[in-house]
Amino acid sequence: MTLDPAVLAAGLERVRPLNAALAWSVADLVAEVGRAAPNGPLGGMPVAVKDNIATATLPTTCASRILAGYRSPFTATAVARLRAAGGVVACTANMDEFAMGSSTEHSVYGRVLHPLDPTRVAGGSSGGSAALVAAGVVPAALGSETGGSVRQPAAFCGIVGVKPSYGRVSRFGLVAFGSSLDAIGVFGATVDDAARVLAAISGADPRDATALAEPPLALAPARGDLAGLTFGLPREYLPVDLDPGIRAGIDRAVALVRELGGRVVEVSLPHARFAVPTYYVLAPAEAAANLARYDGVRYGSRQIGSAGDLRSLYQTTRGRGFGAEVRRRILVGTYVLSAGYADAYYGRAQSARSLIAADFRAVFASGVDALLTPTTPTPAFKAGEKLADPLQMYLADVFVCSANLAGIPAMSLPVGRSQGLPVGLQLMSPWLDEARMLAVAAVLERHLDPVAEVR
Amino acid sequence: MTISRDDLRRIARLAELDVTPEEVDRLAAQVDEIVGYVGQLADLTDRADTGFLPGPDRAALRPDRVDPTPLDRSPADFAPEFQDGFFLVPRLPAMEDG
Repeated sequence: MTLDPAVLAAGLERVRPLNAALAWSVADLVAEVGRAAPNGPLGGMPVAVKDNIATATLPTTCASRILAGYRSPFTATAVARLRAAGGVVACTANMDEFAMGSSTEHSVYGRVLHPLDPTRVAGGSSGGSAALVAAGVVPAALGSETGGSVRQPAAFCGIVGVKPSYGRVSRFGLVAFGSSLDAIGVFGATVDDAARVLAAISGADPRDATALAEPPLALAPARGDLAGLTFGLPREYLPVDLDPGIRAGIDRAVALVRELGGRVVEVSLPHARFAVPTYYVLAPAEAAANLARYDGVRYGSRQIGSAGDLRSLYQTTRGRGFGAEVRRRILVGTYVLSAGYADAYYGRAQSARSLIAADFRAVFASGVDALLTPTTPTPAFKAGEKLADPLQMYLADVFVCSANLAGIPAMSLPVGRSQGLPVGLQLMSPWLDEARMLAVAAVLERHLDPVAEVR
Repeated sequence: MTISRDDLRRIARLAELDVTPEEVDRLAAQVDEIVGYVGQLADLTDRADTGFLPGPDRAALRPDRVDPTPLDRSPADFAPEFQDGFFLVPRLPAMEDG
Protein backbone atom coordinates (compact mmCIF):
# COMPACT_ATOMS: atom_id res chain seq x y z
CA MET A 1 0.00 0.00 0.00
CA THR A 2 1.28 3.46 -0.77
CA LEU A 3 0.08 6.60 0.87
CA ASP A 4 -1.31 9.41 -1.26
CA PRO A 5 0.16 12.66 0.10
CA ALA A 6 -2.78 14.61 -1.32
CA VAL A 7 -5.30 12.60 0.71
CA LEU A 8 -3.31 13.06 3.90
CA ALA A 9 -2.92 16.79 3.17
CA ALA A 10 -6.69 17.09 2.72
CA GLY A 11 -7.20 15.45 6.11
CA LEU A 12 -4.73 17.78 7.80
CA GLU A 13 -6.41 20.74 6.11
CA ARG A 14 -9.84 19.59 7.31
CA VAL A 15 -8.79 19.54 10.99
CA ARG A 16 -6.92 22.85 10.97
CA PRO A 17 -9.51 24.33 13.40
CA LEU A 18 -8.42 21.81 16.07
CA ASN A 19 -4.94 23.43 16.15
CA ALA A 20 -3.49 19.94 16.61
CA ALA A 21 -1.03 19.72 13.70
CA LEU A 22 1.89 22.15 13.67
CA ALA A 23 4.45 21.77 10.87
CA TRP A 24 3.43 20.07 7.62
CA SER A 25 3.27 20.83 3.91
CA VAL A 26 2.39 18.92 0.78
CA ALA A 27 6.05 19.06 -0.28
CA ASP A 28 7.14 17.63 3.09
CA LEU A 29 4.56 14.85 2.79
CA VAL A 30 5.81 13.89 -0.65
CA ALA A 31 9.39 13.80 0.67
CA GLU A 32 8.31 11.79 3.74
CA VAL A 33 6.60 9.17 1.60
CA GLY A 34 9.94 8.85 -0.16
CA ARG A 35 11.74 8.35 3.19
CA ALA A 36 9.46 5.52 4.32
CA ALA A 37 10.78 2.05 3.54
CA PRO A 38 8.64 0.77 0.66
CA ASN A 39 8.00 -2.73 1.99
CA GLY A 40 8.08 -2.07 5.73
CA PRO A 41 5.52 -3.67 8.05
CA LEU A 42 3.73 -0.34 8.59
CA GLY A 43 3.02 -0.14 4.85
CA GLY A 44 2.96 3.64 4.46
CA MET A 45 1.01 4.33 7.67
CA PRO A 46 0.95 8.08 8.35
CA VAL A 47 2.03 8.93 11.90
CA ALA A 48 1.94 12.32 13.63
CA VAL A 49 5.00 13.12 15.77
CA LYS A 50 4.83 15.19 18.95
CA ASP A 51 6.77 18.44 18.71
CA ASN A 52 9.37 17.23 21.24
CA ILE A 53 10.65 14.26 19.15
CA ALA A 54 13.31 15.17 16.60
CA THR A 55 12.52 14.52 12.96
CA ALA A 56 15.42 16.63 11.60
CA THR A 57 13.19 17.42 8.59
CA LEU A 58 10.54 19.44 10.46
CA PRO A 59 11.04 21.92 13.33
CA THR A 60 11.20 20.51 16.89
CA THR A 61 10.11 23.32 19.21
CA CYS A 62 8.42 21.70 22.25
CA ALA A 63 5.68 24.30 21.68
CA SER A 64 8.00 26.81 23.35
CA ARG A 65 9.11 30.30 22.45
CA ILE A 66 12.62 29.37 23.60
CA LEU A 67 12.92 26.84 20.73
CA ALA A 68 11.11 28.93 18.10
CA GLY A 69 12.06 27.65 14.66
CA TYR A 70 14.58 25.12 16.00
CA ARG A 71 15.40 22.23 13.71
CA SER A 72 17.27 19.35 15.27
CA PRO A 73 20.52 18.40 13.55
CA PHE A 74 19.77 14.70 14.14
CA THR A 75 16.82 12.32 13.95
CA ALA A 76 15.29 10.57 16.94
CA THR A 77 15.86 6.81 16.92
CA ALA A 78 12.08 6.27 17.20
CA VAL A 79 11.49 8.38 14.07
CA ALA A 80 14.29 6.67 12.14
CA ARG A 81 12.79 3.28 13.07
CA LEU A 82 9.32 4.44 12.14
CA ARG A 83 10.55 5.37 8.66
CA ALA A 84 12.53 2.15 8.36
CA ALA A 85 9.34 0.22 9.14
CA GLY A 86 7.39 2.01 6.40
CA GLY A 87 5.82 4.71 8.56
CA VAL A 88 5.36 8.19 7.14
CA VAL A 89 5.86 11.28 9.34
CA ALA A 90 2.63 13.20 8.71
CA CYS A 91 3.25 16.35 10.74
CA THR A 92 4.47 17.55 14.09
CA ALA A 93 1.79 17.71 16.77
CA ASN A 94 0.91 20.45 19.25
CA MET A 95 1.60 19.84 22.94
CA ASP A 96 1.89 21.51 26.30
CA GLU A 97 5.15 23.45 26.38
CA PHE A 98 7.99 21.03 27.17
CA ALA A 99 5.31 18.38 27.86
CA MET A 100 4.28 20.11 31.10
CA GLY A 101 0.52 20.10 31.41
CA SER A 102 -2.59 17.96 31.21
CA SER A 103 -4.68 19.96 28.75
CA THR A 104 -2.49 21.20 25.86
CA GLU A 105 -3.44 24.73 26.83
CA HIS A 106 0.16 25.62 27.73
CA SER A 107 1.40 25.88 24.15
CA VAL A 108 2.96 28.91 22.49
CA TYR A 109 0.81 27.98 19.46
CA GLY A 110 -2.44 28.15 21.43
CA ARG A 111 -4.62 25.37 22.77
CA VAL A 112 -5.75 22.18 21.04
CA LEU A 113 -9.52 21.74 20.73
CA HIS A 114 -11.21 18.48 21.68
CA PRO A 115 -12.39 16.84 18.43
CA LEU A 116 -15.86 16.07 19.86
CA ASP A 117 -16.46 19.33 21.73
CA PRO A 118 -14.45 22.46 20.90
CA THR A 119 -15.18 23.98 24.32
CA ARG A 120 -13.22 21.16 25.98
CA VAL A 121 -9.54 20.21 26.15
CA ALA A 122 -7.99 17.23 24.39
CA GLY A 123 -5.89 16.39 27.45
CA GLY A 124 -2.15 16.67 27.57
CA SER A 125 0.60 17.02 27.24
CA SER A 126 0.39 15.06 23.95
CA GLY A 127 -3.00 16.60 23.11
CA GLY A 128 -2.19 17.36 19.47
CA SER A 129 -1.17 13.76 18.77
CA ALA A 130 -4.34 12.47 20.45
CA ALA A 131 -6.67 14.87 18.65
CA LEU A 132 -5.21 14.01 15.23
CA VAL A 133 -5.80 10.29 15.78
CA ALA A 134 -9.27 10.86 17.25
CA ALA A 135 -10.23 13.07 14.29
CA GLY A 136 -9.30 10.25 11.92
CA VAL A 137 -6.48 12.09 10.16
CA VAL A 138 -3.81 9.54 11.08
CA PRO A 139 -4.25 6.02 12.50
CA ALA A 140 -1.34 6.47 14.92
CA ALA A 141 0.85 9.11 16.52
CA LEU A 142 3.95 9.34 18.67
CA GLY A 143 3.66 11.10 22.00
CA SER A 144 5.74 11.22 25.13
CA GLU A 145 4.98 10.52 28.76
CA THR A 146 6.55 11.76 31.94
CA GLY A 147 3.43 11.38 34.10
CA GLY A 148 0.58 10.17 31.88
CA SER A 149 0.87 12.52 28.89
CA VAL A 150 -0.15 9.80 26.41
CA ARG A 151 -2.76 7.85 28.40
CA GLN A 152 -4.64 10.90 29.72
CA PRO A 153 -5.24 12.58 26.32
CA ALA A 154 -5.99 9.15 24.80
CA ALA A 155 -8.73 8.70 27.41
CA PHE A 156 -10.11 12.21 26.87
CA CYS A 157 -10.20 11.75 23.07
CA GLY A 158 -11.49 8.16 23.02
CA ILE A 159 -8.50 6.42 21.44
CA VAL A 160 -5.80 3.94 22.47
CA GLY A 161 -2.70 5.29 24.23
CA VAL A 162 0.23 3.13 25.32
CA LYS A 163 3.12 3.97 27.63
CA PRO A 164 5.68 1.18 27.36
CA SER A 165 8.07 0.06 30.10
CA TYR A 166 10.79 2.56 30.97
CA GLY A 167 13.61 1.83 28.54
CA ARG A 168 11.54 -0.12 25.98
CA VAL A 169 11.85 2.66 23.37
CA SER A 170 15.03 4.65 22.84
CA ARG A 171 14.77 8.26 23.93
CA PHE A 172 17.56 9.45 21.67
CA GLY A 173 16.04 12.54 20.06
CA LEU A 174 13.26 12.96 22.63
CA VAL A 175 13.71 16.31 24.36
CA ALA A 176 14.42 15.50 28.02
CA PHE A 177 11.97 16.55 30.76
CA GLY A 178 12.18 14.09 33.68
CA SER A 179 14.89 11.62 32.77
CA SER A 180 13.95 8.93 35.31
CA LEU A 181 10.32 9.06 34.08
CA ASP A 182 10.28 9.97 30.37
CA ALA A 183 9.10 7.46 27.78
CA ILE A 184 8.04 7.74 24.15
CA GLY A 185 4.50 6.40 23.86
CA VAL A 186 2.12 5.59 21.03
CA PHE A 187 -1.46 6.54 20.16
CA GLY A 188 -3.59 4.34 17.94
CA ALA A 189 -7.09 4.42 16.51
CA THR A 190 -7.10 0.73 17.46
CA VAL A 191 -4.98 -1.47 19.73
CA ASP A 192 -3.45 -3.05 16.63
CA ASP A 193 -2.36 0.32 15.19
CA ALA A 194 -0.67 1.31 18.43
CA ALA A 195 0.88 -2.13 18.96
CA ARG A 196 2.40 -2.28 15.49
CA VAL A 197 3.97 1.17 15.81
CA LEU A 198 5.28 0.37 19.29
CA ALA A 199 6.85 -2.87 18.05
CA ALA A 200 8.47 -0.96 15.18
CA ILE A 201 10.11 1.74 17.34
CA SER A 202 11.15 -0.43 20.33
CA GLY A 203 14.49 -2.07 20.97
CA ALA A 204 18.04 -1.42 22.17
CA ASP A 205 19.93 1.64 20.99
CA PRO A 206 23.61 2.37 21.54
CA ARG A 207 22.76 6.11 21.52
CA ASP A 208 20.58 5.83 24.65
CA ALA A 209 22.13 4.21 27.71
CA THR A 210 18.69 3.92 29.32
CA ALA A 211 17.27 1.92 26.39
CA LEU A 212 17.08 -1.70 27.50
CA ALA A 213 19.36 -4.27 25.93
CA GLU A 214 16.27 -6.11 24.69
CA PRO A 215 15.21 -7.09 21.18
CA PRO A 216 12.26 -5.16 19.70
CA LEU A 217 8.90 -5.92 21.27
CA ALA A 218 7.43 -9.15 19.90
CA LEU A 219 3.63 -8.94 19.83
CA ALA A 220 1.65 -11.87 21.23
CA PRO A 221 -0.75 -13.93 19.12
CA ALA A 222 -4.36 -12.81 19.35
CA ARG A 223 -6.36 -14.29 22.25
CA GLY A 224 -9.96 -15.49 22.07
CA ASP A 225 -10.83 -14.71 25.68
CA LEU A 226 -9.32 -13.83 29.06
CA ALA A 227 -9.51 -17.29 30.65
CA GLY A 228 -6.69 -18.04 33.06
CA LEU A 229 -5.86 -14.40 33.72
CA THR A 230 -6.28 -12.55 37.01
CA PHE A 231 -7.07 -8.83 37.06
CA GLY A 232 -6.63 -6.60 40.08
CA LEU A 233 -8.94 -3.69 40.90
CA PRO A 234 -6.96 -1.37 43.19
CA ARG A 235 -9.45 0.09 45.65
CA GLU A 236 -7.46 3.34 45.90
CA TYR A 237 -8.25 3.99 42.22
CA LEU A 238 -12.03 3.85 42.71
CA PRO A 239 -12.63 6.64 45.24
CA VAL A 240 -16.17 7.46 46.36
CA ASP A 241 -16.08 10.81 44.59
CA LEU A 242 -15.14 9.30 41.21
CA ASP A 243 -17.16 10.80 38.35
CA PRO A 244 -20.30 8.61 37.95
CA GLY A 245 -19.84 8.30 34.18
CA ILE A 246 -16.25 7.12 34.62
CA ARG A 247 -17.39 4.64 37.26
CA ALA A 248 -20.12 3.29 34.98
CA GLY A 249 -17.60 2.83 32.17
CA ILE A 250 -15.18 0.95 34.41
CA ASP A 251 -17.99 -1.19 35.85
CA ARG A 252 -19.05 -2.15 32.36
CA ALA A 253 -15.48 -3.04 31.35
CA VAL A 254 -14.94 -5.08 34.53
CA ALA A 255 -18.19 -6.99 33.91
CA LEU A 256 -16.96 -7.75 30.40
CA VAL A 257 -13.60 -9.00 31.74
CA ARG A 258 -15.52 -11.47 33.93
CA GLU A 259 -17.79 -12.54 31.05
CA LEU A 260 -14.69 -13.25 28.98
CA GLY A 261 -13.33 -15.61 31.62
CA GLY A 262 -11.02 -13.28 33.52
CA ARG A 263 -10.83 -13.50 37.32
CA VAL A 264 -11.20 -10.10 39.00
CA VAL A 265 -9.92 -9.50 42.53
CA GLU A 266 -9.83 -6.39 44.68
CA VAL A 267 -6.29 -5.37 45.55
CA SER A 268 -4.61 -2.52 47.41
CA LEU A 269 -1.74 -0.22 46.47
CA PRO A 270 -1.37 1.36 49.90
CA HIS A 271 0.94 4.22 48.89
CA ALA A 272 -1.22 5.33 45.94
CA ARG A 273 -2.23 8.58 47.60
CA PHE A 274 1.40 9.70 47.59
CA ALA A 275 1.80 9.28 43.82
CA VAL A 276 0.82 12.83 42.78
CA PRO A 277 2.87 14.63 45.47
CA THR A 278 5.83 12.33 44.73
CA TYR A 279 5.54 13.01 41.02
CA TYR A 280 5.26 16.78 41.54
CA VAL A 281 8.52 16.78 43.46
CA LEU A 282 10.56 14.48 41.24
CA ALA A 283 9.34 15.67 37.83
CA PRO A 284 9.94 19.40 38.52
CA ALA A 285 13.31 18.59 40.12
CA GLU A 286 14.43 16.69 37.05
CA ALA A 287 12.92 19.33 34.76
CA ALA A 288 14.79 22.13 36.54
CA ALA A 289 18.03 20.24 35.87
CA ASN A 290 17.22 19.23 32.28
CA LEU A 291 15.95 22.66 31.24
CA ALA A 292 19.13 24.34 32.49
CA ARG A 293 20.48 23.69 28.99
CA TYR A 294 18.23 26.36 27.45
CA ASP A 295 20.50 29.31 28.00
CA GLY A 296 20.45 31.13 24.67
CA VAL A 297 24.01 30.13 23.82
CA ARG A 298 24.15 27.03 21.62
CA TYR A 299 20.64 26.82 20.16
CA GLY A 300 17.18 28.24 20.58
CA SER A 301 16.19 31.85 20.87
CA ARG A 302 18.28 34.44 22.70
CA GLN A 303 17.19 37.58 24.52
CA ILE A 304 19.82 40.08 25.54
CA GLY A 305 19.13 41.41 29.02
CA SER A 306 19.33 45.03 30.08
CA ALA A 307 22.74 44.59 31.72
CA GLY A 308 24.10 43.26 28.43
CA ASP A 309 26.29 40.64 30.11
CA LEU A 310 26.20 36.84 30.06
CA ARG A 311 24.28 36.41 33.32
CA SER A 312 21.63 38.81 32.15
CA LEU A 313 21.44 36.94 28.82
CA TYR A 314 20.75 33.66 30.65
CA GLN A 315 18.10 35.16 32.90
CA THR A 316 16.31 37.15 30.23
CA THR A 317 16.42 34.38 27.61
CA ARG A 318 14.94 31.91 30.11
CA GLY A 319 12.58 34.34 31.81
CA ARG A 320 10.99 35.40 28.51
CA GLY A 321 11.45 32.17 26.56
CA PHE A 322 9.66 29.82 28.96
CA GLY A 323 5.89 30.04 29.49
CA ALA A 324 4.05 30.26 32.80
CA GLU A 325 3.77 26.53 33.62
CA VAL A 326 7.37 25.74 32.69
CA ARG A 327 8.59 28.63 34.83
CA ARG A 328 6.49 27.42 37.78
CA ARG A 329 7.93 23.92 37.48
CA ILE A 330 11.50 25.17 37.21
CA LEU A 331 10.95 27.26 40.36
CA VAL A 332 9.35 24.36 42.26
CA GLY A 333 12.09 21.98 41.10
CA THR A 334 14.82 24.40 42.10
CA TYR A 335 13.22 24.87 45.52
CA VAL A 336 12.84 21.15 46.31
CA LEU A 337 16.49 20.58 45.38
CA SER A 338 17.87 23.62 47.19
CA ALA A 339 20.12 23.43 50.26
CA GLY A 340 18.10 22.88 53.42
CA TYR A 341 15.03 21.52 51.59
CA ALA A 342 16.36 18.70 49.44
CA ASP A 343 16.00 16.05 52.14
CA ALA A 344 12.51 17.13 53.22
CA TYR A 345 11.18 17.13 49.66
CA TYR A 346 13.40 15.36 47.15
CA GLY A 347 14.66 12.74 49.59
CA ARG A 348 11.18 11.92 50.87
CA ALA A 349 9.86 11.73 47.32
CA GLN A 350 12.60 9.28 46.36
CA SER A 351 11.63 7.15 49.30
CA ALA A 352 7.93 7.35 48.40
CA ARG A 353 8.76 6.33 44.85
CA SER A 354 10.43 3.16 46.16
CA LEU A 355 7.35 2.32 48.21
CA ILE A 356 4.98 2.98 45.29
CA ALA A 357 7.06 0.73 43.02
CA ALA A 358 7.17 -1.95 45.74
CA ASP A 359 3.34 -1.86 45.99
CA PHE A 360 3.09 -2.74 42.31
CA ARG A 361 5.71 -5.49 42.58
CA ALA A 362 3.86 -7.03 45.52
CA VAL A 363 0.50 -7.03 43.73
CA PHE A 364 1.93 -8.60 40.59
CA ALA A 365 3.89 -11.15 42.66
CA SER A 366 0.63 -12.17 44.34
CA GLY A 367 -0.62 -13.56 41.04
CA VAL A 368 -2.28 -10.53 39.48
CA ASP A 369 -1.54 -10.34 35.74
CA ALA A 370 -2.79 -6.80 35.12
CA LEU A 371 -4.50 -3.98 36.97
CA LEU A 372 -7.72 -2.30 35.80
CA THR A 373 -8.41 1.31 36.78
CA PRO A 374 -9.95 4.44 35.33
CA THR A 375 -7.42 6.42 33.28
CA THR A 376 -8.79 9.78 34.43
CA PRO A 377 -11.00 10.91 37.33
CA THR A 378 -13.37 12.80 34.97
CA PRO A 379 -14.06 12.97 31.22
CA ALA A 380 -12.46 15.83 29.25
CA PHE A 381 -12.85 19.08 31.16
CA LYS A 382 -13.69 22.54 29.84
CA ALA A 383 -10.95 24.73 28.40
CA GLY A 384 -9.82 27.32 30.92
CA GLU A 385 -11.38 25.42 33.82
CA LYS A 386 -8.09 24.54 35.54
CA LEU A 387 -5.73 27.13 34.04
CA ALA A 388 -5.82 29.49 36.99
CA ASP A 389 -5.27 26.68 39.48
CA PRO A 390 -2.13 24.65 38.69
CA LEU A 391 -2.80 22.21 41.53
CA GLN A 392 -6.22 21.23 40.13
CA MET A 393 -4.53 20.59 36.78
CA TYR A 394 -1.96 18.33 38.50
CA LEU A 395 -4.73 16.25 40.08
CA ALA A 396 -5.92 15.28 36.58
CA ASP A 397 -2.88 12.93 36.62
CA VAL A 398 -3.91 11.12 39.79
CA PHE A 399 -4.36 7.68 38.17
CA VAL A 400 -1.65 7.85 35.53
CA CYS A 401 1.55 9.15 37.11
CA SER A 402 2.23 6.09 39.30
CA ALA A 403 3.08 3.89 36.28
CA ASN A 404 5.81 6.36 35.36
CA LEU A 405 7.12 6.34 38.93
CA ALA A 406 7.22 2.52 38.87
CA GLY A 407 8.49 2.32 35.27
CA ILE A 408 5.82 -0.25 34.34
CA PRO A 409 3.84 -0.40 31.08
CA ALA A 410 0.32 0.99 31.07
CA MET A 411 -2.29 1.93 28.51
CA SER A 412 -5.69 3.52 28.09
CA LEU A 413 -8.47 1.82 26.12
CA PRO A 414 -11.72 3.61 25.19
CA VAL A 415 -14.61 1.71 26.79
CA GLY A 416 -17.64 3.91 26.09
CA ARG A 417 -18.94 7.44 26.47
CA SER A 418 -20.53 9.39 29.25
CA GLN A 419 -22.83 12.15 28.00
CA GLY A 420 -21.00 12.02 24.70
CA LEU A 421 -17.49 12.18 26.16
CA PRO A 422 -15.07 9.24 26.02
CA VAL A 423 -14.23 7.14 29.08
CA GLY A 424 -10.84 5.38 29.28
CA LEU A 425 -10.00 2.13 31.04
CA GLN A 426 -6.40 1.93 32.20
CA LEU A 427 -4.50 -1.36 32.15
CA MET A 428 -1.23 -1.54 34.07
CA SER A 429 1.09 -4.50 33.71
CA PRO A 430 4.27 -5.92 35.16
CA TRP A 431 7.60 -4.68 33.88
CA LEU A 432 8.17 -5.69 30.21
CA ASP A 433 4.74 -7.34 29.92
CA GLU A 434 3.49 -5.09 27.08
CA ALA A 435 2.74 -7.97 24.70
CA ARG A 436 0.22 -9.58 27.03
CA MET A 437 -1.28 -6.21 28.04
CA LEU A 438 -1.88 -5.34 24.37
CA ALA A 439 -3.37 -8.79 23.67
CA VAL A 440 -5.79 -8.38 26.59
CA ALA A 441 -6.76 -4.90 25.36
CA ALA A 442 -7.40 -6.28 21.87
CA VAL A 443 -9.83 -8.87 23.31
CA LEU A 444 -11.74 -6.17 25.20
CA GLU A 445 -11.72 -3.89 22.16
CA ARG A 446 -13.39 -6.63 20.09
CA HIS A 447 -16.28 -6.86 22.57
CA LEU A 448 -16.81 -3.20 23.43
CA ASP A 449 -18.56 -0.44 21.56
CA PRO A 450 -16.31 2.56 22.33
CA VAL A 451 -18.96 5.09 21.30
CA ALA A 452 -21.90 3.58 23.23
CA GLU A 453 -23.16 5.47 26.27
CA VAL A 454 -22.06 3.68 29.44
CA ARG A 455 -25.25 4.39 31.40
CA MET B 1 3.15 30.82 54.02
CA THR B 2 6.30 28.79 53.40
CA ILE B 3 7.56 30.64 50.31
CA SER B 4 8.12 34.35 50.86
CA ARG B 5 8.78 36.91 48.17
CA ASP B 6 12.47 36.78 49.08
CA ASP B 7 12.48 32.97 48.78
CA LEU B 8 10.91 33.28 45.35
CA ARG B 9 13.56 35.77 44.23
CA ARG B 10 16.30 33.53 45.63
CA ILE B 11 15.14 30.40 43.78
CA ALA B 12 14.60 32.43 40.59
CA ARG B 13 18.23 33.54 40.84
CA LEU B 14 19.37 29.94 41.40
CA ALA B 15 17.37 28.91 38.32
CA GLU B 16 18.76 31.85 36.25
CA LEU B 17 15.18 32.88 35.56
CA ASP B 18 14.22 36.50 35.21
CA VAL B 19 11.06 37.25 37.22
CA THR B 20 9.46 40.67 36.88
CA PRO B 21 8.52 42.55 40.07
CA GLU B 22 4.82 42.34 39.09
CA GLU B 23 5.01 38.52 38.94
CA VAL B 24 6.69 37.92 42.28
CA ASP B 25 3.55 37.87 44.44
CA ARG B 26 1.55 35.59 42.16
CA LEU B 27 4.45 33.16 41.57
CA ALA B 28 5.29 33.06 45.27
CA ALA B 29 1.66 32.19 46.06
CA GLN B 30 1.49 29.48 43.37
CA VAL B 31 4.83 27.91 44.29
CA ASP B 32 3.79 28.08 47.93
CA GLU B 33 0.56 26.22 47.19
CA ILE B 34 2.37 23.52 45.22
CA VAL B 35 5.10 23.11 47.84
CA GLY B 36 2.40 23.00 50.53
CA TYR B 37 0.60 20.26 48.62
CA VAL B 38 3.69 18.08 48.08
CA GLY B 39 4.50 18.66 51.76
CA GLN B 40 1.98 15.88 52.55
CA LEU B 41 4.91 13.54 51.85
CA ALA B 42 5.75 14.28 55.48
CA ASP B 43 2.79 11.99 56.35
CA LEU B 44 4.73 9.07 55.00
CA THR B 45 5.61 7.13 58.11
CA ASP B 46 7.46 4.23 56.49
CA ARG B 47 10.63 5.02 54.64
CA ALA B 48 12.44 3.01 51.98
CA ASP B 49 16.13 2.39 52.54
CA THR B 50 17.05 3.27 48.99
CA GLY B 51 15.67 5.30 46.14
CA PHE B 52 14.17 3.61 43.12
CA LEU B 53 15.10 3.93 39.48
CA PRO B 54 13.26 1.89 36.86
CA GLY B 55 15.26 -0.37 34.62
CA PRO B 56 17.85 -3.07 35.10
CA ASP B 57 19.68 -3.30 38.41
CA ARG B 58 22.87 -2.12 36.83
CA ALA B 59 23.73 -0.17 33.72
CA ALA B 60 25.12 -2.26 30.88
CA LEU B 61 28.75 -1.56 30.11
CA ARG B 62 29.52 -0.30 26.63
CA PRO B 63 32.76 -0.04 24.67
CA ASP B 64 34.79 2.94 25.86
CA ARG B 65 34.73 4.63 22.49
CA VAL B 66 33.95 8.13 21.31
CA ASP B 67 31.13 7.83 18.80
CA PRO B 68 29.69 11.27 18.11
CA THR B 69 26.30 11.57 16.46
CA PRO B 70 26.67 12.86 12.92
CA LEU B 71 24.83 16.17 12.53
CA ASP B 72 22.60 16.96 9.55
CA ARG B 73 23.41 20.65 9.86
CA SER B 74 26.10 22.76 11.51
CA PRO B 75 25.75 24.84 14.69
CA ALA B 76 25.93 27.91 12.43
CA ASP B 77 22.39 26.98 11.36
CA PHE B 78 20.88 26.82 14.84
CA ALA B 79 23.10 28.79 17.25
CA PRO B 80 22.08 32.36 18.07
CA GLU B 81 25.63 33.54 17.24
CA PHE B 82 28.33 31.26 15.89
CA GLN B 83 31.61 32.19 14.25
CA ASP B 84 34.82 30.32 13.37
CA GLY B 85 33.76 27.29 15.40
CA PHE B 86 32.83 29.32 18.49
CA PHE B 87 29.52 30.12 20.14
CA LEU B 88 29.62 33.86 20.78
CA VAL B 89 28.31 35.30 24.05
CA PRO B 90 28.35 38.73 25.69
CA ARG B 91 31.01 39.58 28.26
CA LEU B 92 30.92 38.00 31.70
CA PRO B 93 29.27 40.01 34.47
CA ALA B 94 31.48 42.19 36.62
CA MET B 95 33.11 40.24 39.45
CA GLU B 96 31.16 40.43 42.68
CA ASP B 97 33.37 41.15 45.73
CA GLY B 98 36.89 42.40 45.36
